[in-house]
Amino acid sequence: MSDPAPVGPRWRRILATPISQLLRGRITGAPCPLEKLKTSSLPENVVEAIRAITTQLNGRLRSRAARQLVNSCKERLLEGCPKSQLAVQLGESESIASLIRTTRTATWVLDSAFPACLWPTVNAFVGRPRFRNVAARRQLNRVRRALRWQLEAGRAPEELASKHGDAIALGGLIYETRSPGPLLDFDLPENLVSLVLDVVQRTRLWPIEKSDTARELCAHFADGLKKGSPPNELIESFGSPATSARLIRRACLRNRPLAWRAWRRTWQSIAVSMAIVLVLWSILATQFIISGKPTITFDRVQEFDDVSRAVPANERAWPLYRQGLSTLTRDERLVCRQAPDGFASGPEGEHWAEANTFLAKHADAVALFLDATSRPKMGFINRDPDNGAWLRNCVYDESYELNPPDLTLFETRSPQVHDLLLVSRMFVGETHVAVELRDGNRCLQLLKARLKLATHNRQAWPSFLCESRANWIIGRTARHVVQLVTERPELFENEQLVTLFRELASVDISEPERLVPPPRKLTTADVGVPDHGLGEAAIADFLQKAYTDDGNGNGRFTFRGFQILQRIAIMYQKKSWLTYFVPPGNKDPQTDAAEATTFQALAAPLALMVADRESMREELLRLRQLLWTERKSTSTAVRFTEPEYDAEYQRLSDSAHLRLKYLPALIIMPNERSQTWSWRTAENRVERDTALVVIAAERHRRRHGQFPETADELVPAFLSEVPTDPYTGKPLDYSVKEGRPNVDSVGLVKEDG
Amino acid sequence: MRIERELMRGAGPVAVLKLLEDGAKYGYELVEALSQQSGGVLGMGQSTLYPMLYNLQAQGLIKPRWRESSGGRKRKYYSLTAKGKKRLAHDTAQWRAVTTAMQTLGILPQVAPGLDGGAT
Repeated sequence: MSDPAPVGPRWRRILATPISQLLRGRITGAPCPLEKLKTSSLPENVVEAIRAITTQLNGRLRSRAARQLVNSCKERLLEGCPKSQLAVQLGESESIASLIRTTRTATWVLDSAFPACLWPTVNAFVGRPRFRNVAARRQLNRVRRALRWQLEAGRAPEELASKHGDAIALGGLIYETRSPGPLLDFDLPENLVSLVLDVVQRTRLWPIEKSDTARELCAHFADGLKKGSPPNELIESFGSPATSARLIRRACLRNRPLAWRAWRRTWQSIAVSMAIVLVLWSILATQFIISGKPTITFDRVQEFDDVSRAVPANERAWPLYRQGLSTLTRDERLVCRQAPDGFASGPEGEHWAEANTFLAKHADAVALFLDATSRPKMGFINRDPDNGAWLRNCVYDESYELNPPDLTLFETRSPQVHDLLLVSRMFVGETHVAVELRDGNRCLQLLKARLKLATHNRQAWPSFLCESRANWIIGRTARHVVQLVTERPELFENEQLVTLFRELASVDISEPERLVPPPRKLTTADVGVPDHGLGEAAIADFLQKAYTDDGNGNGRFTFRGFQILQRIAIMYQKKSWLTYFVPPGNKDPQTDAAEATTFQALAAPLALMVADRESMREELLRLRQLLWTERKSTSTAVRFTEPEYDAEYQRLSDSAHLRLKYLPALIIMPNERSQTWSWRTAENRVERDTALVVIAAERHRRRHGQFPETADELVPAFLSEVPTDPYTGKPLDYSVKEGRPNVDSVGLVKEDG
Repeated sequence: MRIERELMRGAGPVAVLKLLEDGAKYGYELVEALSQQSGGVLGMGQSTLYPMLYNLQAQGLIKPRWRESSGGRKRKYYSLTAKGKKRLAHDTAQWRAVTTAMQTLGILPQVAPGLDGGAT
């Protein structure tokens, strides 16, 4: 038996062409799946009937259908079904094949006795393009069930076949209503059923409601036909199916249960609200992103560099620092970072041997650094081509460009600050070497260099970090001086002690030098407080990069502002040493990053809630002033009181409204309770003052043969006055313990404890 | 003559309720009765009638019931509820008032046309 022409899409027909078969190694065409099955127990006519069905199928469906049909036939024969009945049931091969293609299975063909003459009728109901796979199987079951009811009611198969021979619309109606039985009672022409189907489909009601509507409309048209109205007249008098469907749907929805209607109304309200919010958000977001762009009027880095460039070359320390730092390889930098106790603790440190070797190797670099400390100004320039070699060693990136001109984000990178810490570490190590050699001059030189390095550190970049780190260097140097003077008094001669005293007394640990002039828009009059130089520039830089500018000093928060906040939050998370900011320690970095991301997503509506430029500037300057006042304060016990800065910061944090309004301020201003801010002015000042008292006491001992009993005895010969303890507001607590001068401070005791 | 949609929206339900006053009727029967008894004035397409019936049902003025007709086929019959009867009396009184006003104004003749089977 020759295979009929394959059906299906074009690619499937091409696959069935002889040349395609040839290319696929099937010279004789696709093998018949029946040849692989055991069909010997089946009558020849049944096998031929199965063949007639499967030859109209393709691919795996063909094999699967053949296998299912053969198995079904065998089972039916075992159940006692006559062989002749099987052949009859498989008689309508074309309709059965079409149904198998639609349902993708053949298990239903013989699962119960069904007259073969009804398969074309079933195919008319089921074989529609919209029915596929599961939907088609459901429709098939419905139609078969309905037809079986009619057969059981005594109708002849031939009568049913002729009645529903062209039942495409009825098939659709059955699919829509899920209840074929009652609909088959109406003997309506196809065009009227199509109209009912059209109306029912458009109603988009529940199947039971569709069924009720369909039955009523069918009954209506059946009544009309019975009264003698022709179908076309009935269709015309019915009116618009679309209008009817819309009105029927509306009426049926009113008939639904109250709970359902309430549920629907709720969801409708939510959907409408969401849509309104979405539209408003879209408008705001569009306006926010497109029109709200910051106007950058000054380049803070450039201003800083210009100040540095104005310093005469022979007064600039940075070129010498840079020259020395450039000799350190990446690995050597790591040694210096990873073995800090070797440098800090000297011979008592675990890594002293490594530190000693390192220092010996880099004696030239130390000499350069010492030379640098003799120069008055730091003179660091960000955009200096001569920084290339140093940057390559420092940030491990050949193409790295430090704070380029097109920097739109707020953070600036200051690797020079970090590198000065390496210099400080090497100076400390060298001091230990000098002590071991009992070289008082060298020791004095290094201590003076460390104090000068602190000043250079303060000038390296205008930030709190630099100020704090400079104070920390002074504090540590003073602590070292106390240790040397009390434990190795013979190391220094009288003149050296006087010099050391003078250097320590003259160093300023709270007042930064003014390196960058404040921008023109930020004047003393604006702020209402004395200009502190550095902080205001940073604030102005943030405002110009985060806010629009209306020309009158005001503006609104921009999308770029949220990006800046997010970057800062991410920097907190990474705790990057290159950042300009000091990470507030007791802020949760995860929360900060998540908040910033959320804010960016909801940026447009939230930007309306963030304070405008003027208010934000006032608040930032106020915080800045409070912070500065607190940091300068040396006459009050700052550690044990509730500073105004903390109170103001807390006030903004505690209120949901203010937290949102001043979010940028809360993110960019430091949290003073953070551990990162342990390098506090008061503590470093106590350390410095302790060193002054101890030096004075040692000079007293050398002149009078013993240490004074009280600090007052040092005044005025060795001290102009006894320094005040900032933690108590009283003079520092001096005593002689175990034959050595001892100075206590509540703050230091607390810290140590 | 076809009447305006808005007027039909007010008159249609009353007319249907009035027709159901005599007993339960099915959809096609209502269509025919409306057309014939109103001289075609209140005749409406089925696309309008059935939604109107569903609305009246939603308001509790009529109730449907599937019954087997004499021909053995099932039809959906609509009948008035107690609430529907009250509404009919109320609406009838209102329409009478309107009619009287129209007559007074000379817009309507003194004898108003009535629906067959209904009180005038």
